[in-house]
Amino acid sequence: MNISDELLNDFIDGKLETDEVKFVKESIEKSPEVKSRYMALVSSDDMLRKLESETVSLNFTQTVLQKIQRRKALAKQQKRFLFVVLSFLGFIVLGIVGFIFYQVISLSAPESNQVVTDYSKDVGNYFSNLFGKKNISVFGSVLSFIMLVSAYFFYEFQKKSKNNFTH
Amino acid sequence: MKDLSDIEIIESVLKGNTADYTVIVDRYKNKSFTMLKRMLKNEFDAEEVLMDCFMKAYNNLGSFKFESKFSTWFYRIVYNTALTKLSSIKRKVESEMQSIDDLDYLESKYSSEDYCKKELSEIVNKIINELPAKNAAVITMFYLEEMSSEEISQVLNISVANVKVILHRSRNLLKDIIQKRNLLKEIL
Repeated sequence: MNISDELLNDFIDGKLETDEVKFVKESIEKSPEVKSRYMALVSSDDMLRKLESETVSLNFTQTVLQKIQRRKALAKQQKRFLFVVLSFLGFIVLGIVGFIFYQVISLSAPESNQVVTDYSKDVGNYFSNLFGKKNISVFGSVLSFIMLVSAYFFYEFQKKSKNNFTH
Repeated sequence: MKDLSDIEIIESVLKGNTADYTVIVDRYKNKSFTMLKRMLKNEFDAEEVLMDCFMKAYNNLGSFKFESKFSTWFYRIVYNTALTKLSSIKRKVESEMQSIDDLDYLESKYSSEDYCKKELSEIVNKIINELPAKNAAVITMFYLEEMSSEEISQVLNISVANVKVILHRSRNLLKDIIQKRNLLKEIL
């Protein structure tokens, strides 16, 4: 009687159709060789079921919780830091815009009848001067400097936070 | 809290009760640790990777779609993180060289006279610990976590038929050792 191990395995797993079950049962009863293989497979299955799980260190759960809380605190710190940096940059931009308007207003003649036209002309001229060949390099350098300083502080902050998180 | 289902606990964690996550950790830590230890063959690496897995799962809880079981989703993280670890420690090549068809080396090793005096349960443990990563993962999920072949196939991203092959090969390996060493009478 030719019964493969696969068929016996499916029989153990309860994956066979009714007629196949009947055939396998008969084969086990009739053939000592099939019975021996079947019993060995059942024993293997039984031994695998009896395998116990290993245990992690006692304080594992606490360590996970602590890590989560540290990460949460770190995320909060990062948010605060970003808020400070963005506020700082916002103030700089506001300052620049305010300064531009102040310059434009002080250059224009308020007593003129065509105030709006003059204002718009002056704003146009001022911007073309500001971003002209002379000033653009100064403006770019100042911005680059601010960005470099911010990046340095951000990097240092990240490094410090990472150390806090690891230890 | 311990009687709640995984889904209920996750919902609570997502509402901001971080401490409830410890119930999930307690529920899965030992079984997933066993799987990782069998895959990585190293206790220290297994615990380190497990910590990483729980952190990953926590950080991505928001992306967990409640369509599948949490266990399937979590074990996918565990399995993939273990594979990444294996590839980083260059053991993956070794592990992949031992395909699911190549368990003969274990059979001949543990059928030998050297192991005749040892307890069968001890030998079974040794064999499981020497199985290739994928086989060890399947055995652990099927027998310890009592996951179905369908769930395991989702975790490993392989077909159900492939899961069945891996499972049967591991069982056949033990069967051959039992038969070769004439242990059936002893067991019965």
